[in-house]
Amino acid sequence: MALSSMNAHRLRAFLTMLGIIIGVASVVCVVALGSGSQERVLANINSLGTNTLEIFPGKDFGDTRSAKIKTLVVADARALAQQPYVAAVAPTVSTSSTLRFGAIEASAQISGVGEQYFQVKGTQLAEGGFLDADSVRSYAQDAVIDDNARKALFPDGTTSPVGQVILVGRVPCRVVGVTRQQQSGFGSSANPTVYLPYTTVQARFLGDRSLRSVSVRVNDTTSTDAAEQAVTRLLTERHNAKDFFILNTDDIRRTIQSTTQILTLLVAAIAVISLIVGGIGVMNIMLVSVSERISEIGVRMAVGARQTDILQQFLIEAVLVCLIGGTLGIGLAVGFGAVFNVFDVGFRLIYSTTSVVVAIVSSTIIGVAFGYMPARNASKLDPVVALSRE
Amino acid sequence: MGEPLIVLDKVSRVYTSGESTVVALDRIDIRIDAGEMVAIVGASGSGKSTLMNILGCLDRSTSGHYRIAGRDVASLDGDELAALRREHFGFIFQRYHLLGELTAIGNVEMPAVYAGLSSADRHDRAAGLLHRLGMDKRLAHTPGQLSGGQQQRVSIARALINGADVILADEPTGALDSRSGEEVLRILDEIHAEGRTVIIVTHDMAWPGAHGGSSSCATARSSRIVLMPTMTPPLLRCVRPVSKAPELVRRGCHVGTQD
Repeated sequence: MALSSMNAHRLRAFLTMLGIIIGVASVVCVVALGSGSQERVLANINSLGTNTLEIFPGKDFGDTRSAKIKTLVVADARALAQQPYVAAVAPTVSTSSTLRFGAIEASAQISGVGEQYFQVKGTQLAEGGFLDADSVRSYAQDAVIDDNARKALFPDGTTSPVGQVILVGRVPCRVVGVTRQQQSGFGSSANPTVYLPYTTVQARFLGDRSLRSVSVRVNDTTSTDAAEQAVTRLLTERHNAKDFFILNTDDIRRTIQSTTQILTLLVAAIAVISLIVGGIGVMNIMLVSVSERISEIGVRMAVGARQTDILQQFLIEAVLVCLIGGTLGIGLAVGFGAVFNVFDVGFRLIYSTTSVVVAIVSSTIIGVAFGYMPARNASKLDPVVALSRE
Repeated sequence: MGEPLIVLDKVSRVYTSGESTVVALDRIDIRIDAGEMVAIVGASGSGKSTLMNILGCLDRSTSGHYRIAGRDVASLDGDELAALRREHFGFIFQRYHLLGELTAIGNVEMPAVYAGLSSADRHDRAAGLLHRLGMDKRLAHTPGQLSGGQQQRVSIARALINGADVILADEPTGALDSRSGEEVLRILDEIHAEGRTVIIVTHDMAWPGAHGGSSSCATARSSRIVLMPTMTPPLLRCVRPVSKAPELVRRGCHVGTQD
């Protein structure tokens, strides 16, 4: 009966549903847009390099004796790599030297790094490859140059640096990779940098087996503070003294966390606002559509319908309208997402089940309540009063 | 004899809007026996429709008592009133009040849905009634596709489907041309001949006098005319006292019987 009544009033039923459809679709789409852009923003920030610890010898920055402390060695890095909270470890040494390629010279920072360094720092390749464990073990004269070094040595941009041999100081090295320009302002500079295996730098440049620092990437499930304490305990035990200090780059993580919180709050606020807007739409259309039918209620009561008959009819109709409308609304939202993802705008829609459920449940509650209430009021009238309402 | 089927005892209906009150009915007394055919006649505004709505339990009186078969309507709750409207009364409105989205047969079946009849039973019964009223070719038409006379026949079938013993017709011919109107009156006559109580409201003062010569109303042996007093609140005056054998008397106003 409810279906046939809806079928007889296709336009009215559709308009009523439209309120629900738009309400549900807007909530679901807005939440999906919000989560999608949130994911994108966080991914961008994450690429700056995340939760890393840098371990330096000495008491603090500027410790004049730090150059004389030789206790931080590769064995420490290997021990750290065994720890469960560590995702990657890279021992580093550094010096500076002059780069030459053909007639071009440039002074550069030489970083001797372990093979996991690029993973720790979140560095990305523009072309070629990274240093691997073999090149570290074999003291290979392989170099990865950064974007600044590429600009300095290969200014024309036509020859690929990969495979070329450059002179680092007096050591010839083959370029195996070029890194992409680091997006961050964190710790990057315009200085050309060349990455060589730390073994090569120790043997050919420094003649010293101690490390300048060890970079540790903490895995995502451990907080950097807890990791910092654990690292401190481990190294103090190994050195029998606290002759090192740790730079905790947790500020990046904090930035990410607070950004996440703000974005989550933003998405939630937008969702609540569109829920309210959608809810009011649903409420109005329901009120109007039932008020329009008060004389129908009068006719039905005049021929002997009980109050419960009337309520049942309108309740079933309201529930049907809300459920069908809700389903169509989800369909519309998914369709919008498909179209949206076709145009590559840099992020994709992420649908959340919660938003779908909340949208459907709240619009159904509002729709049923405001479809039911006026019907209940009308069914309490004397039939003659209901009949005379047009 | 026991109590008449319908007894109105000093029934008043007062409408209040803001500070002003309008007295639509002032202490009306009426008795109607089962099987009677009664015409309620009066000028426009004399409260005929109000009386009819109260008789059909569509409206409540402000004061006074209305008893149906000895039961006071004021003591009934909503569901019992709905049961009365469903089982005992059949209402025919001047403006038909059919549901536009239902077909003719759907409209006729509606009261039977509420009476809990099975779908096959009510379909058969509705089709039978429409057939009897000459509407068998228009079962699937919606009210918008029917003429006024046809719509009124659908609404008569709707009034009859639950076997109502009292048919209340509120100006059933008011919106019809004279031929359709006569047809409707003939049908009501037939319904009365089956032994049902028929109460008709009409503004046509001449009715059923105008039909005096015609077969239908002349043969309605127990037809009576209840003449509504026109009221100029709070005073009442009689428009046309009927001198002959007043059965319903209210402050010297009246009721006539036509044999």
